[in-house]
Amino acid sequence: MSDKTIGDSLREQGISRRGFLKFCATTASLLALPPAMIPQIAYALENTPRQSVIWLSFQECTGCTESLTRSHAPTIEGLIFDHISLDYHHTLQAAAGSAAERAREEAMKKNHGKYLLIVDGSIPTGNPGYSTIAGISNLDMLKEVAAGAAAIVAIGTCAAFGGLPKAAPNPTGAMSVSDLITDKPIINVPGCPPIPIVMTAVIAHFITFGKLPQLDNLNRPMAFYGQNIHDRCYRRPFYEKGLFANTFDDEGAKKGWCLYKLGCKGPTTYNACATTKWNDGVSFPIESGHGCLGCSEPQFWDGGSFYKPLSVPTIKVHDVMAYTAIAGAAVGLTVGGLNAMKKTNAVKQHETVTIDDLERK
Amino acid sequence: MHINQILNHSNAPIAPLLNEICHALEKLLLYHENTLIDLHSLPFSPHDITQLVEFLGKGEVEAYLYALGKSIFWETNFAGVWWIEHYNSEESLINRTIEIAYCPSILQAQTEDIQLGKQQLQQLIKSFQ
Repeated sequence: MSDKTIGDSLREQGISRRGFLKFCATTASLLALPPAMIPQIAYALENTPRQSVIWLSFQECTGCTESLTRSHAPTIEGLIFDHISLDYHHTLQAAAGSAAERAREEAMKKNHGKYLLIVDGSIPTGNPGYSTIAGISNLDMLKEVAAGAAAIVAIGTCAAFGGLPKAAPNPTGAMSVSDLITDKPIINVPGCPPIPIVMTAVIAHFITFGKLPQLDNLNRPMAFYGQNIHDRCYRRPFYEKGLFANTFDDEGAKKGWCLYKLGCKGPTTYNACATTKWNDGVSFPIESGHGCLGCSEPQFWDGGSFYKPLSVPTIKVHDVMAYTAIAGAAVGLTVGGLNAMKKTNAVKQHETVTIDDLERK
Repeated sequence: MHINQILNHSNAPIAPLLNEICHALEKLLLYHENTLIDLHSLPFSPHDITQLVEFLGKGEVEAYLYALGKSIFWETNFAGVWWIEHYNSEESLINRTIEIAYCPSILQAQTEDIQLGKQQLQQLIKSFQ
């Protein structure tokens, strides 16, 4: 780790104390920490040496790195990344071949037990030759580097849950980091890709408090994955009113109604897209007119059609309505009355199913 | 716009927010304690924000800070209630807060900057002698 603190680096760049406090206030807001914590963040960032980070990329598409490096500078992401010591990242570093591997080995030796390991991509456990770096299999490299890490951040759905490489029939025997490493604190930051600010906020939290933030049952940071997309979606009021788009170009779609019937996975997906948004805060998939795919959830590739609604009535409501109309006329009951009764039954039979349930059916 | 009109046409938690501001003003008067409310984490649509800004209005003071991008501060029609927007150097909004204070804490000169300024001034005076 470099002896220089983040505070030193900011001052060298001529950033005033006010600028630094602005930076800390934004970081606290991102981490969903109460504003009363701002002084603590300021103190820690001012006095902590630059954190050594080793980044390993395995079976991945580089989308996670793209997500991070394409964020607009100098945002919080930029500032944090300027002020950590990224000692190894084989896509971003200038060194190549044996020089690059030497840099990794040196950083591991110098900061043993203290460095933060970031992993993107899943790890093939079938033939080790499916993915190697400098002739070392992904599995061997993960085990070697994880041994000396203070904590591990599994960035992206591939590293967190196996992701696309693990999708059936999983030809490479892909596994997630937590499937293979069990003796280190691991934080999952899933998403395909994850929101850049989530990645950097996790790093900021680690630097500030020396430990990982509060996690959910899938080891995801609660500050970002504590609520589902549906609960934070600006289209949620249309769901409550029963106003849905039925096709991508009908009146409902044009009016911005709820995309639930078009297969939106918002209700079962925990992520911060609806509040943090994408592309420098421009929008998020639902705001652009497409349902959520559920990319931050395990097995999202094998969860059935992206366009099938999550919850479907067990009987076809429209057919029931038609039969009701005929039956109503035949037995002399009012159609409205029967419709209401059948509707109540349909509502009763309306069961909520999860992605796992859909898979079983 | 009248508050009832805003509350009737909005899905956002505007009423609880106004109550929180009211409690924070009480705290400021009694204990001289500032409160910062982070609007980023509340589910407000851009339309809700516009309505809230309209309702709170603009009071007598407006200030700008140029540090890591621009920040805008204005006192609302309710004295002691400040609307604060922080932008990055690409003019994208990165944080929006309401601070209940006599003066927003970040606007005051900071001790570290004063110390640095004093040193620089002393050096300048020395160079004249």
